[in-house]
Amino acid sequence: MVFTNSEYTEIYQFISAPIIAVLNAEMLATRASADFIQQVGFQKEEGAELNDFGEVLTVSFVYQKPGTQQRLQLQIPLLSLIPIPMLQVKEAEFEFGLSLLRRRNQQTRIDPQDGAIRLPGGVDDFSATLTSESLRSTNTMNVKLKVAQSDLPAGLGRLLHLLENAIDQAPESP
Amino acid sequence: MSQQQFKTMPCPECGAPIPMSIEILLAGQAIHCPNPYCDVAMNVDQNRSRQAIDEVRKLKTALDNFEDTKRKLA
Repeated sequence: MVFTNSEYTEIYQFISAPIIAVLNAEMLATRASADFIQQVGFQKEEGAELNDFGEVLTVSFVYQKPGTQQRLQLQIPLLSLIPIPMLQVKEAEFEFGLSLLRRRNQQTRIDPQDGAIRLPGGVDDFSATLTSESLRSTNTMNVKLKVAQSDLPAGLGRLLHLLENAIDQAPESP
Repeated sequence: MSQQQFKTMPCPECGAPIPMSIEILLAGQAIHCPNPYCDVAMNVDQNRSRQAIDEVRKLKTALDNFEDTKRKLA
């Protein structure tokens, strides 16, 4: 974790930074899923506007109707045939320690000399520092993330339902 | 995302769910309805589906590369 050059840092900033990082990661993952849908599921024409997804990309199947000689063609949207990656952070665990050192009558801040974090504690304030040896020596934070496939968002479910309804069946054209 | 994840498409004759995956789409083989009373066998029309199949192929390459990298890091 990198602190700013500002001499004063609130303790909530120290704690919220990794949480904000997780939220940003989720946002990027969601954007990647949206990009996937746009790139794989749609056929965008050159020069089309950013929000113009273009035509739905389809896979064409041919089969012979049982008991007849009739050959039929089936157009199915590609997006309804392949798994869509929708990742979500299921669990995030951050490990770092703070140790109260001594009472001080001053604002919360990080001491530029020893890296100690000065904590406000009501009328009397405390100073604190990172306690883990590994954290102290490397200035890193232990982070554990569990990422899993998320449930299908309602909006995307509706889109897939629309795509499935768009399955087109017709006699095979030459 | 695992490549083994299956989606299904309804059989155009009996409506039974036919398993579908990236591998099945790329295999180029007949896809049979799993309903034993249904005799439907479908083939991907490679010409009309060229662009979609190209996208699926790119996706498979990306997933294979990801799996390779994961194995190397393990």
